[in-house]
Amino acid sequence: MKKYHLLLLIILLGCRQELDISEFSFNFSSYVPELRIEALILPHDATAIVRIDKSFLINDTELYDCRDNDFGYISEDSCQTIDGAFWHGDENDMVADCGDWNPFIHDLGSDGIESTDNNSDGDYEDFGDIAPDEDGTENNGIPDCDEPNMDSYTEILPSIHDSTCTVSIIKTSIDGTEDLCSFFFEDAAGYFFNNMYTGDKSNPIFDNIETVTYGAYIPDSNCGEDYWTDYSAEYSFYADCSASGFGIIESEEPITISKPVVFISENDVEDIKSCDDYDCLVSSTSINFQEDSLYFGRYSLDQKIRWASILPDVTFQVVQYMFDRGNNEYKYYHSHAGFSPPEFQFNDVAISEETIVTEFYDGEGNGEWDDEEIYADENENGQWDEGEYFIDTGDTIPEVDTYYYEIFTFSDSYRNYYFHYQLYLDDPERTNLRDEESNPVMGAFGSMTSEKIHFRIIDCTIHGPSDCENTEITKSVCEWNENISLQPCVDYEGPICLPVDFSTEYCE
Amino acid sequence: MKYIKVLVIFPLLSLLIGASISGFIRDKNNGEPLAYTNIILLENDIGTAADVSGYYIFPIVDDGKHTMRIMMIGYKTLEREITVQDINLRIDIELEPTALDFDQVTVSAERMRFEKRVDISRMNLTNREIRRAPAFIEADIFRTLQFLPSVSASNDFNAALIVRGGSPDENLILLDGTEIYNPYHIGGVFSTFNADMISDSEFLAGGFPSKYGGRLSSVLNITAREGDSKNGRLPDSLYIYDVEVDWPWNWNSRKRKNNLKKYWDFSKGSGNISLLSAKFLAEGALYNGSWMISGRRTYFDKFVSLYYDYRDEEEPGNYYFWDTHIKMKTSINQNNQLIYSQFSGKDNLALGLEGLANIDFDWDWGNRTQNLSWRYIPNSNYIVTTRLSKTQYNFDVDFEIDFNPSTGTADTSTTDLSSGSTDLDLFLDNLVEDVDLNQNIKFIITDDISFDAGWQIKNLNLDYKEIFSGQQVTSIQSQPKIYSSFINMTLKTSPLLYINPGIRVSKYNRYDKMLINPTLGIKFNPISDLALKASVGRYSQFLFTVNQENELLRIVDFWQPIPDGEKPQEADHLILGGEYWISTGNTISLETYYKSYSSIYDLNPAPDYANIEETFSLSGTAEAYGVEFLYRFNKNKLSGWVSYAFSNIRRSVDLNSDTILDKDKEIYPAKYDKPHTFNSLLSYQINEKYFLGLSATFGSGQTYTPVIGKVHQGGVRAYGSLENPYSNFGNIYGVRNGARYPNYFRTDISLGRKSKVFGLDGELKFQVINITNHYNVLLYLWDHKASPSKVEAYSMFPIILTFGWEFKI
Repeated sequence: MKKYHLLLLIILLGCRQELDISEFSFNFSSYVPELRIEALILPHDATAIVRIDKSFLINDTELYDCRDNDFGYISEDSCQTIDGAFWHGDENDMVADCGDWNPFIHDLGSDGIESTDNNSDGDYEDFGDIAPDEDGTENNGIPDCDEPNMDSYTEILPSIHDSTCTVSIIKTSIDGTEDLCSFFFEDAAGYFFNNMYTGDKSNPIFDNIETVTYGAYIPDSNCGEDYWTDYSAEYSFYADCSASGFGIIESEEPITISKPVVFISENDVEDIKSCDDYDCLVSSTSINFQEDSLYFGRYSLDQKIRWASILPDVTFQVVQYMFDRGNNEYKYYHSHAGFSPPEFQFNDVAISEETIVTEFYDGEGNGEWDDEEIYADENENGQWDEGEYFIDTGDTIPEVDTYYYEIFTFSDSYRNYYFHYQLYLDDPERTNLRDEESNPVMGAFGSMTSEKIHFRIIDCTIHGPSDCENTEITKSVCEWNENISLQPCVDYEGPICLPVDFSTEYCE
Repeated sequence: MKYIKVLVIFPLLSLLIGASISGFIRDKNNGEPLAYTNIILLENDIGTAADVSGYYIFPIVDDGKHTMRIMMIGYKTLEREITVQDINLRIDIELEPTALDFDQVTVSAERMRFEKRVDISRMNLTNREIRRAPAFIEADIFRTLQFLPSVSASNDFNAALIVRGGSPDENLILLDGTEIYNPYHIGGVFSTFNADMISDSEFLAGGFPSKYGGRLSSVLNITAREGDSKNGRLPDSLYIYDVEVDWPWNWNSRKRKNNLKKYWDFSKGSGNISLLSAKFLAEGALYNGSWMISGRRTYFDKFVSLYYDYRDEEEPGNYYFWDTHIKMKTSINQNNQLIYSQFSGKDNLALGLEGLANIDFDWDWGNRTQNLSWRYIPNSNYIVTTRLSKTQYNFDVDFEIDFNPSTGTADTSTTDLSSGSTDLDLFLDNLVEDVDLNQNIKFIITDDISFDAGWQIKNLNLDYKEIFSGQQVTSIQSQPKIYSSFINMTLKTSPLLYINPGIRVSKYNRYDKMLINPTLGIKFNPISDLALKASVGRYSQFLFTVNQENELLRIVDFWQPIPDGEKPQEADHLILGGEYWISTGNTISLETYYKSYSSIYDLNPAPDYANIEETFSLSGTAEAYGVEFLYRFNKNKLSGWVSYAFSNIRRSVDLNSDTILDKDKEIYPAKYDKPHTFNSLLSYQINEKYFLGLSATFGSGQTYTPVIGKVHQGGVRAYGSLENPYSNFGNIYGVRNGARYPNYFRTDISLGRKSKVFGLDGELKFQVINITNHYNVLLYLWDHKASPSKVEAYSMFPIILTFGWEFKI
């Protein structure tokens, strides 16, 4: 919220001035780069991952080099063999940067924003107009700093990782036996979804969501899946980063991994309240969430998923994924921190809930170029021509009806790291990692255990009277209405199939 | 029961003591009370001064004939013969104004305060002083106070008062005796108090007497104008017409007394149009009393609406605020007055951002207070004020995102019901309700001994809710109750020495122990024009705001009670100072203070979410000390003040609750630690038509925590960082508040001209803010996605020209 205040004022009254960072050198000149380690056990996936990355000086000059060199410094011929690659040299160059900066759609200048002349009067002085960059970087045909696809993740991540450490996690079982799992650095150890440049990143369709891989340490194959799912064991972290000058870093104390949540129905709440352990939660729920899917009527109100956890697990990460039918995979939709409020905490049990957006997502474009969609004007005739590359935005037809939620619980240590974001990164209460002199090291060693629940949104309104209440088709979420007014949603009165919980309040 | 005792005991006491003379002094032209008027009984050579409501008391007067002389600069001196015969006399007096300048009236009142008041660190500002000070668009009492050496502002956008290092929530802000919880508009750019309606404002920067409680730092007591009860414009009589039915019709008129005039009359009105708002003020007589109503509303939103209507586009957002103040006073009889005061103010900010996702943001907040006071004024040497007030401060945020705003427009045979629905929403609600019943007895035993005593019952209802995506994330409700009583004596032990001991005892229902807050004020006059003062006292506070330290703007205050079982906030004040009356209206003062906070509360950056109600805040300590110099002058046509302040504020808070105080991160200068500040506020009357105002501030920059490095990092604030661990390339910070922005400098000027526009008498006022266009840094923002990193400074007000027109009807 405070950011919002700030933005408003800055727009209204503020004056901005870029400063020379040397004016601040007395603050940062004595800073020495450190490591930040995120060492995570992931019981649900029966694995672990250790991200060891370097911090940087304010005056570092190498990480963002303002070159588009995803695929390296290679010849034009080699570059052209790579799908989606562009070679950034002139005809005299034998070799040059090869990357994914597309001169036809990414040449927006150093402000990263396309200039706009709303009324096409030739000037950029009207309300809403955005002038071309004063430094001449817009449409200059070469990649410039801060343009889309410049210094992208692919280019910078390898420079961030420290791949020279020797990493292991030691498990001490309840009987006192110790096992050691060694890790090795893998260039594509993990991945995340990134919204590619579409001119607007707020609501991309599936085609504009890219999967980015990053390097990290992953367990040796000898460790076995059981290694990471022992809820009674204690785990310790060890990393020897002497090769990069950071010495040995260890977890301050062993950790135990967190139990996952248990999804429940509204009817289970009373029984669940008296539970005092995870097994009780599992036996008390009426939902077979590991196999079944939930169903909700499109446009229905106040639909929720609920889950239970054993105290003190009251904080979660809530992540929603949506199904990309075209590529037969789930894509990241949104996430946020979750809490069980005090009035939902009973003795040893915390109950939490998440309201379902009972609407489809517009995950696909229409496959055709539409007005205002960004395109590569390769023949420079000022209009889109068949075959020219364009960024397909949403076609306004929402079609994604299948989703899942993944709820993460944290070990104490990782909860501190994640939720106590107002503390310094090396605060001894925020990080449980220590160097050889017992100084706190940025990051944390802990666990994130997750559980998933799938659900589908059913559009009742497409069904006629025969299918509407067919449980095989509409899963008991629809009912037939012989005569109903849908004001103020739409100007309709008559028979229609609607969600059981439908109310015109949905539109208000 | 208590009240009955008071009613019985005080008349008995006064019978034992002897006859008294008391009454009100008012302006003959408009009936407004004349505060601090000087009254002398010539034969006995004893004198007294009227209080802020114009009421005076001579506690013991011998039987016989006396001559009473009433003096106030700017008014004709009046002498009246009176005869006292063992009874209490009530003598109300009206003084006739002369053509003298208003400033001289102010000076006269100030001299009386200089002589009679023991309070240290006190400053009174009149409506005129506030309005003459250059200000951003509109005159504002908070902005004027910020030129005092004891007060500072965190930045140009924040009108919150920082008094001797105390956070803004430590100031008790009273309007006609009712507490106001969030006295700001537009995120703190303006205070909620319309300068036109202020009669007097008394500011106590520390060491305040025990009749004020519940706050640690300062008291701002604003008294609203009562209204002109003298110049009613309704006709004394009305013509009544009788019509004979038969043709030809005959109209017979006859005069009848206008009975309405007895109960209500209209005297005058005034208006003010500035770039920000349109204001009005109207006043008149009420049955045995007066009324006043003032209001203002911003109109920027109307222009925005017109603009977008013209363009046939949706408004991306809009903002407005309004406030009104109503005051009515009536005397039921000579001994009983009823005063009703009501204040309402509201802000509304709405933003709608359209894109592939629609975002609607609606934010409104406001205060509403109602206050009914009963003043019992017997013809004796005491006065009893009983006050019932209710304050309500409410704050709502609705934030909604619709990810599929344009669904259903394409070719589809389905029935689309999605219009108007939203996909994600966040609602925040904060309510503070304060019902306060209190009684205050002022008793003057002799000319040398008087005391104030009273009690207060405060019933609070605090509610804070956060609902995210239909799920109630936070809900903190509490109903704190505070019971207090106080006694405060003023003893004149010799002609040179005044002693003002007091004690306030409070019981907070969420804390076991009784809180005993003693205070002591001493004034020593080695010569008549020099007052040496000292004050020591302990103060407690039961509520605090959780948005204190790093805020740039203060749109709203999130008030919370001190957690159950925890000791309320506590501070000790020690203040020493001297004030020298150089000549009429020219004074010089020097004060030094030391404040020690044994418990202050702040938002806990590392709460236990399984026990959020008890761990959302944590306590710490702080200390502040400083020296302040103030020279007030009033020479010929030039008046104002210059000041210098040195201050130092250190906080010690175990932010990570590990019981160890880290010297770099947990013992630190406060955000508003400003070692050096020079202020000046000048007003120059060029001639009868023109006046010039000038204000200047030069001081140390505010502290900030420097950025020393950068690293990718996770955290709940960077949503999605667990899914994309490289989404947030964030700051690595150095020593907390270990750096300071460049020195702050700002000069504002104003030029006023009396003029007649559209046949209305009025005043045109032009103002230039930051005339030197000095770049005062508000904050630095770092962009780490560049090598080397980039940093941008955002400034406070650049040079701005504003103007306004004030008129009278």
